[in-house]
Amino acid sequence: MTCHDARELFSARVDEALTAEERASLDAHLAGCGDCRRELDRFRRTVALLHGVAPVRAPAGFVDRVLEAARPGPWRTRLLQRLFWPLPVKLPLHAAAVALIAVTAVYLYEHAPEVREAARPPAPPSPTVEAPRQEPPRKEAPRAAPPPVLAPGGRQGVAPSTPAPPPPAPEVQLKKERAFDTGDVAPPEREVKPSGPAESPPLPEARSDTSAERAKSLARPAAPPRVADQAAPVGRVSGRLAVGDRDTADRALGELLARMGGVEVGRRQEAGGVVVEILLPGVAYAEFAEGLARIGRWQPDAVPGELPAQVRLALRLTD
Amino acid sequence: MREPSPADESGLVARLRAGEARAFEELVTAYQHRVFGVAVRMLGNGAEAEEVAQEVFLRVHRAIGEFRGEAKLSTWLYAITSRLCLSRLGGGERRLGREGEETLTRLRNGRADPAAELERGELEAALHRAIAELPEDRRLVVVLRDLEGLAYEEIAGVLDLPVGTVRSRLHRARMDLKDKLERFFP
Repeated sequence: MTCHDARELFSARVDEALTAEERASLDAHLAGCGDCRRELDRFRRTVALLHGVAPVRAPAGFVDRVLEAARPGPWRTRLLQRLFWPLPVKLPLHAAAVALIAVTAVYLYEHAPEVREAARPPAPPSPTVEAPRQEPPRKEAPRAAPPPVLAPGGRQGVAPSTPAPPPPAPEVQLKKERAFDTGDVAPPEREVKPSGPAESPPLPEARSDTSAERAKSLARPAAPPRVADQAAPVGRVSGRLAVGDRDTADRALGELLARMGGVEVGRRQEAGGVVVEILLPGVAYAEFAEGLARIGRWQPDAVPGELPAQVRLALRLTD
Repeated sequence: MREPSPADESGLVARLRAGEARAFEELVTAYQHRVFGVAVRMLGNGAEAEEVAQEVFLRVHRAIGEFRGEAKLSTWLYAITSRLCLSRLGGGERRLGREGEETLTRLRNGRADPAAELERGELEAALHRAIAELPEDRRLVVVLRDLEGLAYEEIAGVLDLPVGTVRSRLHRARMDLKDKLERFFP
């Protein structure tokens, strides 16, 4: 046995963990090696020193502090711990779950039209056209039974009537505006232009016989979003549409309105033509204007730079 | 409080599993010094050692249902303590410094008379410094064997190592200490 081999056994020798054979070999080496005997002596004293180290005691109050810490906290704390503890495990799981939900939501939104429809913000309660009232009878405006037409024209409503009434007086126009304003869709202030004799009947507007047909076509389910379904505010646009044949243009205008999701909310006779009041989605205005240009010569008076959700268009139809 | 006997230990474990608050208090009282002792000798900082020791008992409190009873309760406690200490030490970057030596001296129990204390003071300081300078894996084996008095097999269970590895580490650690304390042994 070499000195190196002998010293490798010192630890087991001190702990009395050598086999009888190992011990015999070691003792034989030690008997003839003074260096290893001295080395073993130092080794023993080192281990004895370690064994003599006094034990350490936990600080006073340690048990109480542990018991306090082990006491179950309020249910919120326990719930949070259960949900988020241990953080390195739970946080990535939660993040992955949120990402999965987000991806699923986007996928469903893009691939399921009904989900897209459901996600659309609810439309304000749209004013509907009141049925022709039996009382009080309005002798100024005998009305035909109109089809149900959505019109944001307020509580006065918009009803087709057969004869074209005389042009309204400024006061009548104001009344119409107020009636419009009392609806859920409130238009901004509008300049009132005197456009006819003061004795005009207070009927809001009259429509030709073809209005009923146009209204029916407007009520088709395939039509684009109706202006009545959209929210305020309303922008003002006016202009002149010069046409060759007014009846043909009128029909074309009705079809264009139906296509664009607009609605005719009033019509009055003025000097030099008929003024058709139209309510139109702002986004459809540009295409609507192009359609007007195809019907006749369309000259807008002024068009606001940015159109709001709805546009009220006063279209003067002239020959 | 002394460490419970095997019969007492199985009863204690059963009561802990049943959620008996008194049983947990008995457990902490019985093992507080041993758990804290290992922690403070490994970490060298009393406050940090108390944090670790508290965490050891809280883990036992939470996970007593997972204790299968194949090993001694003390082995389980030492295993948790060792893992937490090694985790805190974070791969061997930290060493016990003067603060650790002072902490150990302050925490020692059963002081000798002042004259003997003065005589042994330098040697003890050198010993604590030498322990602190050991690599963590060797220090842990020395602490468990020579300061806590665990058998080789129990240390192997605590550290989940073969007994041969425990013997080898212990021998290297003791040889390191002998070399560092050479000047005190003419």
